[in-house]
Amino acid sequence: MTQAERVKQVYAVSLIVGVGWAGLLWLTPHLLAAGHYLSATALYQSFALVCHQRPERSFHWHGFPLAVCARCTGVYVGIAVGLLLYPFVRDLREREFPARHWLVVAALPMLLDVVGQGIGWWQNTAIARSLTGLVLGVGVAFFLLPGMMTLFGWRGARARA
Amino acid sequence: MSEPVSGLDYKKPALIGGALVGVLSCIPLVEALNTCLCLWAWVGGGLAAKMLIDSSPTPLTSREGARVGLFAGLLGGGFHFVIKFVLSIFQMDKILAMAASFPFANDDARAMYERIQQNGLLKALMAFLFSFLGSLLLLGFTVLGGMVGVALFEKRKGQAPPPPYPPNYPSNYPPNYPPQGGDSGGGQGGWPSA
Repeated sequence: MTQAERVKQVYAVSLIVGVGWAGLLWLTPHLLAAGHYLSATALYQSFALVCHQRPERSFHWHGFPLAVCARCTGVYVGIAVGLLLYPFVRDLREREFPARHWLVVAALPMLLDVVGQGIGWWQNTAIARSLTGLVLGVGVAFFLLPGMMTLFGWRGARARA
Repeated sequence: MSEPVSGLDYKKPALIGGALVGVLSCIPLVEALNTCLCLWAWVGGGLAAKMLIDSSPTPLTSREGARVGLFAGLLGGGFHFVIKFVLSIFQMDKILAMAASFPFANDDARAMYERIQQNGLLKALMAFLFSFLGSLLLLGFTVLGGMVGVALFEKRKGQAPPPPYPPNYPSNYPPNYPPQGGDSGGGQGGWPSA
């Protein structure tokens, strides 16, 4: 396998995992709607570790809430979107992380949204929460993929493109 | 970019990072912060990466960050799994009753939850599933925390380590070093300060 093929393989796997993870959020209510209560409950309970899952703050699918809230949905979808956009913005072979201030920039809208809501400046909506989460998720993807390339995409100092 | 570093001691960073992830993810109320995208996992992985960076003489890559995150995640996730598995078995009735009380739970779902409550093996299986999947999530996010930790805390990008002294270097070279009083590194040997 050439280095270029390896890099594409790592990207493809990362993309499948990212999109698949986002897909799990919609699969969970779909399983519940289809009557697969055991698997749906197991998935809901697993995601309960990483999200409050309040139905009033979550999007719904087939009449049931997604596995996580609107903000978390935005983050995970953002990671998938970021992975899709990555090859158009950066070279897949790039192993250097972007400048770290970009991660702060990506997190700023969400921080402002949370703080603003907390101190009563505004009442945020599901769309605002998910969009700010989406921005953070896209930013995170641009840090994750170089990491994946360093981990799996290169072998040895003499690896060639 | 620097090549992966060998000879690193992962034990202490993994132990401390893993302890943070595992213990804080099991303490009631404190564990609620995990609802912020598994915060303790990111913090534990990042802390492990920071400790590894501080103990490494050369810049680290995300490979080392992911590795220390993996070790920390295995420790923390393992601890979390054991505690949560035991707790879930005892709390399964309460968890299922809560699931049955959700507005979207229909009669079939409630019947299934009741069947599980009456069957000890099914309860244990559900407890295993919940705690295993949750611990897997903790592990995954801790690995990511380790990688992102390197991105955030490793400031020594692109710096090569100082070259070794040539062979047959006399041990008392350079003469009059370190300087006695006066400015340090005054042009005689040593590396320029950053």
